[in-house]
Amino acid sequence: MDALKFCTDKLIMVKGMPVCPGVAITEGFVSPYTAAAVCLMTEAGHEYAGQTLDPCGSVLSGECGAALCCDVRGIIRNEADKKGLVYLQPSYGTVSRRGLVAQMASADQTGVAAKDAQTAFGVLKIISTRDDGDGCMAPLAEAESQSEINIFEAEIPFEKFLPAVFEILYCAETAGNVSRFDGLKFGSRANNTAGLNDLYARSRGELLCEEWQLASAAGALVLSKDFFDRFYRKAMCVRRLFFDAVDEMFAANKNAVLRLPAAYKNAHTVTALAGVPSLFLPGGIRLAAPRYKDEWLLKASKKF
Amino acid sequence: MKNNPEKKGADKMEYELVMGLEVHVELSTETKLFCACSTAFGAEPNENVCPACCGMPGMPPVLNKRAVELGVTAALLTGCEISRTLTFDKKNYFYPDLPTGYQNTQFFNPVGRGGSLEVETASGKKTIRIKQIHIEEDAGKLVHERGKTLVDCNRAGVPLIEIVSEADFSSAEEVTAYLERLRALLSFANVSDCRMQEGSMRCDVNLSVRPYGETVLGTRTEIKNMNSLKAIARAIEYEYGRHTDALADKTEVLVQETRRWDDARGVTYAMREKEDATDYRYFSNPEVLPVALDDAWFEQIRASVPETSEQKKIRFLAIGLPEYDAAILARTKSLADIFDAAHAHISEPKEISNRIIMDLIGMSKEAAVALDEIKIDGKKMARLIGLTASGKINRAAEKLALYAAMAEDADPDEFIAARGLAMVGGGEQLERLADEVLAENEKSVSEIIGGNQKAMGFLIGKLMKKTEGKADPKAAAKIIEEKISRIKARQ
Repeated sequence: MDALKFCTDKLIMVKGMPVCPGVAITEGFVSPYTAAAVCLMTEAGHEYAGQTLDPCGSVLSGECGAALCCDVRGIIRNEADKKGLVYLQPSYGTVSRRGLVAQMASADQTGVAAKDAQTAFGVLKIISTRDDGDGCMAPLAEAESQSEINIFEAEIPFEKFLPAVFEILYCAETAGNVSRFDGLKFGSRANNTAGLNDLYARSRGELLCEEWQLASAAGALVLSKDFFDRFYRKAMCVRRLFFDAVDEMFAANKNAVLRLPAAYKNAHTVTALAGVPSLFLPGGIRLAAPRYKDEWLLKASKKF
Repeated sequence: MKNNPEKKGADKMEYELVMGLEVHVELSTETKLFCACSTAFGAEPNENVCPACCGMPGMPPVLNKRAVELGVTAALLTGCEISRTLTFDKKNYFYPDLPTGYQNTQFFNPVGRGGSLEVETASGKKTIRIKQIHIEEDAGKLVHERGKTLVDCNRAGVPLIEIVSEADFSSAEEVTAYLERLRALLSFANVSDCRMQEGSMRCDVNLSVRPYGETVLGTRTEIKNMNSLKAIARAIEYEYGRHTDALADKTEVLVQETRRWDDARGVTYAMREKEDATDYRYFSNPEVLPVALDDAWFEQIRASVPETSEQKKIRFLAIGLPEYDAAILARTKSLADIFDAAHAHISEPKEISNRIIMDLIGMSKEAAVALDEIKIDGKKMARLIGLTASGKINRAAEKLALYAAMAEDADPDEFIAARGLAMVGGGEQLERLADEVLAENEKSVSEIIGGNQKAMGFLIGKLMKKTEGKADPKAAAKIIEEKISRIKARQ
């Protein structure tokens, strides 16, 4: 792959740059280190162009050849779709999460927005280097010589439950991970607070972004003693069933990737909850492959 | 409330003390539970920290396998059933000493369950049931200085185990015996150094009091902040007095609360209550993948669990040591290790044990070496015992060489040669010196030949003196006797 310029979204940390730009509570918090994926890219000779709140715009304008993003909620994917870009969400554990601001840690994964699949996979090849600094790295993929990859369509198992399951787990995990942003350290705090509890409450009430406030509130609720069994535990059970059902579905369709309906709005929940890789291609083409078979997506993309 | 000393005696007759313990023990790993920072005690504030244990974002945890092994070891030592899948959960709460906003612990699936420990007090033996043992990370430390509060994260992320007992204790003696037993067990196995003063062993006591015969437990208080066994015993006595006074005299209404022990004043006081009952919102930490403790790994851990003090004692008795010796050696790991090292080279257990108990323990005091830090090469010690047994050196020389081997790792043979401590053996030298003695003391010789054996001792003494004490007295006596009988035969 030729040398290219690449940018990162706000959740990827780069030494000397603000952490989560745009979020008031992290204002003034400068990252002391650079994300593993960014290091790998620059070491491979690609030029880092900086952080952006609009990674897809940056790629569309040609300013950057690729954008590294953390898109657990599917917002960037949909944006890429609208702009006619390609978005690759690798298998969970393929790219080191070191330097990625954790939200839903069980699904957080660096993805790539690019103009074509070839470029996205070229970037993935670089950033998927194994890292002992992330205890959730996937096992090393075995080399294989699958020449023909088919495409199948199927009903998504547990489909109607997926959005709720995803939201519950997203909120629970994000609530835990953003509780480090408490006003006491890493950035800003509320003024004129009276005592420790007031400092926590007002800093988080005034300075945490709305998305994280909602996740914190909902996460606290679904994890609370009274609601744990009804929400969190149940969501975990459905996730387990879904995870296994996805494996069965792929097992029943040998050497094939799944094509999701263009109208399907919850593709991100499939990848997040089952940890499988997915590829969005221009024209509403959404493909998902078995876990760690990311390369199948590249092969399948050539059919379109 | 003051305790009423006059009532106390009567109260103790009427009220039963019921306690359970939560003991936190810092594991003796080199590094923290989820990052590579050192766990060394006594560093400058925030010296042993990294972005991960300071709670910065973007630092995924990497589980320390050694901590898992030590946790499993502790669970094995206390007879717990071991969980073969290790998982970690987040306990969520806000506090300045907790940089991440959550503590990693094993809430849903502790490493060990259902163990027990036998304790012995003046009133006999008793089994204390252990409900569970779980691995977790320590929090940081708050330092209050000149009206400000500073956070030291050195301790944040240090691996701990919490050993939770059932409410099986009914006296301070039992608590002390249990803690001593735990400390011996865990420090012997290198699970932890268990130093209460350094906080590597901490104990919270859950205590309640009820009239004898009552089946329902009384109001429970949790006592914290005791940093010695003595403080724990005092705190228990104090709380027992406070509870019995409250029950007998209705001097105060007991409430379920957490109290801190003030060692200087000898009282407990209620900690400021949290505004709401805390809901820790536990859930499994998705960043720490479940670790399977497979058979191979489990057996490896089990095989590496060192012998306990009790097991050592049994083994020492089996190889023929008397009860007294076995008990002394088994009690201190360094002494047991020295015994085993020497015993590998020489097969006379009692001889080795004598040297350790009669010589080394005293020598360690002389050299100002703590008993549990005393070291000596077992091979050298065995060599010295052998040299004495074969008459090459005497006990006085052996002791000097033993001390040198302990203090400076001196080689016995080199040391003896350098100091000229070797005994003047049978050989020509002793013969020659004996001839000299006889020639110089003709009068005594004729007395002996004349039938007066008293002068024999005098001649042996002379010979010993000539050898500067380096002859075996028996050999000296033998050679004098032989020479005189030869003179007698010639006459």
